[in-house]
Amino acid sequence: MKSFRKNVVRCARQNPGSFMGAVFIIAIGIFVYVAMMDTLRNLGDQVQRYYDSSAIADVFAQVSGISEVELERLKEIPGIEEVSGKMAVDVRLFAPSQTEIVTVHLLSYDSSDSLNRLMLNGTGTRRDSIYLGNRMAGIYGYENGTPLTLMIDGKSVRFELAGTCYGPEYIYAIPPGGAMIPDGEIYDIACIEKNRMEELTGKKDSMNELGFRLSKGYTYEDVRYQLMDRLTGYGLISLTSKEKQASYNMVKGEINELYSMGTVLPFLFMSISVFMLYVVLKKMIDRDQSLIGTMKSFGMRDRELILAYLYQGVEVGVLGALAGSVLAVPFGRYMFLMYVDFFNLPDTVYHSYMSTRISGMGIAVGTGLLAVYLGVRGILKITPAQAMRAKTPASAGNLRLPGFLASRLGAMEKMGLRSVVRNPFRGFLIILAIAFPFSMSSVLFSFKGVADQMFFDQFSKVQTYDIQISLDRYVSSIRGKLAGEEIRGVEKSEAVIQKAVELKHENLSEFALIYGLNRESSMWRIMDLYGRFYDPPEDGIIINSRIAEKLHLKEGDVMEVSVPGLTAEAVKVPVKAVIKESLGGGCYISAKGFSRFFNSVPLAGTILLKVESGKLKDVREELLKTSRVTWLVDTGRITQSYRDMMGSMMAMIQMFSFMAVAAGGILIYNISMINIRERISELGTFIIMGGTDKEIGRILLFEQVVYFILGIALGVFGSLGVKYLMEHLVISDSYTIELAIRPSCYGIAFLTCLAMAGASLLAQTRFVRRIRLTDILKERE
Amino acid sequence: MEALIRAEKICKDYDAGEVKVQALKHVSFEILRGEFIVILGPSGSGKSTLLNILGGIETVTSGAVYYDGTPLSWGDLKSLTAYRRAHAGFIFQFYNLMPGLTALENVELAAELSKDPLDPETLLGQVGLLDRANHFPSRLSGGQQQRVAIARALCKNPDILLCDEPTGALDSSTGSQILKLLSEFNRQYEKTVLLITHNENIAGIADRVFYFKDGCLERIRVNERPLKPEEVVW
Repeated sequence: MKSFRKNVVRCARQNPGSFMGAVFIIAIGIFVYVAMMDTLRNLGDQVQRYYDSSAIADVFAQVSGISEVELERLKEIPGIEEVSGKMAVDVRLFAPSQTEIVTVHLLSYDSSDSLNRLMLNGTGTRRDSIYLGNRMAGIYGYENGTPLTLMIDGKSVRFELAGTCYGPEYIYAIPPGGAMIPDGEIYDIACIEKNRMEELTGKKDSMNELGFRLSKGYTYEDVRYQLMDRLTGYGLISLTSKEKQASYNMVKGEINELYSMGTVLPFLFMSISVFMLYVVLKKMIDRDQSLIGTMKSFGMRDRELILAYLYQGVEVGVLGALAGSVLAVPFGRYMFLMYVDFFNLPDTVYHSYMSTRISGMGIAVGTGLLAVYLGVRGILKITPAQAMRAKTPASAGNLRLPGFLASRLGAMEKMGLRSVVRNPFRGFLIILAIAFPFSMSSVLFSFKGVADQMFFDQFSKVQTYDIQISLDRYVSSIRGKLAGEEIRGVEKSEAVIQKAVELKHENLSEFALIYGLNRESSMWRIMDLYGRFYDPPEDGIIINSRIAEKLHLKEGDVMEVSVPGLTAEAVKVPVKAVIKESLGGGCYISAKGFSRFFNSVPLAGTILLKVESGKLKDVREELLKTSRVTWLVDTGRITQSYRDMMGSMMAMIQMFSFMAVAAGGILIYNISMINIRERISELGTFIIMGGTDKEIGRILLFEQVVYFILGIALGVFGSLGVKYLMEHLVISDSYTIELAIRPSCYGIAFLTCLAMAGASLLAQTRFVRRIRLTDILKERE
Repeated sequence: MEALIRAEKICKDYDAGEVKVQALKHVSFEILRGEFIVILGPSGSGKSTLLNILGGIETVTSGAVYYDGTPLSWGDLKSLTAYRRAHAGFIFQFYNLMPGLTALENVELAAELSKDPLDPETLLGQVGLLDRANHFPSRLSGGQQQRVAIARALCKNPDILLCDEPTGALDSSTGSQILKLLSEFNRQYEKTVLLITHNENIAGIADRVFYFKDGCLERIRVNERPLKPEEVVW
């Protein structure tokens, strides 16, 4: 038994390319699995620990203001177990080394908060102490004791930095103004003592950010309508379940994305490994047929024989898992840091989990064993008598060619063509080995271009202004526009409305932002995913398809819109159009339409500025001095932050492309070499008959061309599948990408696969040149 | 008759690990055009090595081989390929047919390699397999496969047929049919046939028999009256 295993191992070593190829492909799968799962666990565990320790609420609400006593009364609603509230306000922060308008979401801190507890990390709370979000403090390198000035209600108040703070609902702190990526340089949270906050805002006992914990067995839907009813009187702005809360939703989305990627991609690579090992082992069993028959005639049992071969699977699995696990550490760390860069978490230490490696090892060994078992189960059929007999020539591949083809093809082309169909499974694998990297790389290469185009379109066709500023109060549209134009260096100015509203249709409701835009504006237009422009309507609303879907709305429907602070009752507004947008997800109406429907004077809180060429810096500096501006969004900055985020993602995506191409290359090379080794006799005979290198090349080229054409054809279909997969794995809830595969990316993928097929052809040709012709004369088929 | 092949003191050494094996030791002979030669000898006597050298697929260590008065150029793979393509036809013990080609296509493949081929269908008819022309090798018996191999070898219209144990894998009756075909083609097409065998009885059909032992051409026997293949006792 031991000796036989030794023989099997030595024979396998004669084919190191296939052995190493299988190890490499398993290593890729385990690499992706371990890296993704480690990142997932690091992120997931740390987020969950944080949620638990800070008692994240189950339901979130924003109101204009509610007192503690009134908030407590909400516990009367069946299903509400616990309530908690904070004061929150967006204020300007002035501090050393700032070159931007920096806004903080200032929260009140109360150590007795039962829900959404803020975690402070610093030197203690005093009257003038402020805790700043970890991200912003880190970016500016502020040390404890740094003087920071807040502009609250037009008053400048000086604080001293006491440390950093974290809020469970602000792990992913998105700045206002249309950005969807945290930018700690201009926006983060901060907190001060509750008493001090009351003092500075002049609002005593008036909380506006609320959290609710549900009793066991209750869901958001059970309490939603009662909460809405009770909170409407307090100026309800938004009400969401934990799952829909912006930060929670974003974090959950990222974790789900990681989970999907961490399972689907390794599965793809593992499947390829199974195929490859199967082919290699199957070939080995065919070759060892007489040896196996002989061993059986000696009395060796099937189980013993199979175990000897299964050892190969264990070896490939273990080596692959070890290599993959080792390589996964730096990549996992890189991915984790990439997420940490966007997430505000108290614990950011990366751990390498042994359990991930053990499960990776289990998957790898299981894959290896499965592949080997599939390959060697033929052992059970071999009888001792077969050991003594020559193998009958394979009948597969005896393809009858239609007359027109038979008469046009020479014998050499026929040889090539029939070789393709001789072993259909193996042929299919070569086709798959071309199709897989073609599909993956064509889609993945397209991703960057499409994302770039999306951001380019958004900021060159939709939001074409240079700067968007938000004021600390509403002004009339005309006044806002004129104030903007008065700034030196501003070419054009426009005032727009941005308001949080509640939309209702049937029994469904959703909080969203409504934009009151100017008709014939050139600074903020409405454009759908397909490049069609829409005028903001005066007699209704254009609504984003994601919101419309949630509310079961279609064009022509009428929905109810409540604007906190403006409407006592919901206003009925018709839906003029439902549009798909790349970025953003709001509702659009003309400024006039807004006034008409909601009976308000034209009001604006947001000013758009188009700046003269070369004057951007001057205008920003001018705005920096203005205390009425609560935040400033520079479109160049938003684009850059998108590009930064995309850059990290692209690095990851390109690595997957590379791995797919590498796996495909290994597969093509190995299976082609197995094929060619099987045909030594055939090709050697041809050479002995006087076939030249050129003619051999012609036969091999013909085969490769057939495989290549079929592979590319399958790859085109595959690319649609990968596109679908990518759209569901990578695309976030906050933007929609129409992932069109660009012809140029098909071209690059085509050339990549062509190079792989060419390299494989070259290797085959070199192999044929090295055939020892003298061995052919005595070789059995 | 003129000498088609002339071998002058050819030697062939192999390196088998640390040991040097002398497969052929100073072998000299002449083979005439149209002759039927049988090479006899035990395993390891050098018969196959000689066949490989005469077929242009193996080089000599020393000595020289002349084909039709021209020395075979061992250093030039292209000329050896051209020599095999134009002048030599091979018949193998295990037939070595192309599994992806039908019987007729196997013969046609040889025709594609030659400048002056014989008609594939005529040859297939002559070996009695026209009705199996569209059968793939997997559906042919060993004897039928060998007959296709003979037709294939002849189709190139070579001057010399090199047969390495062509009946080695066949039963006596099929083996006899194969010998008959080779003999007929030798007479009909005036092709020189060089046949290796272990079976001494087959030697009766040859014009001359070369006896090899330990890498040396021990003796040459001339058959004054060669036997007909059907007279061979197996």
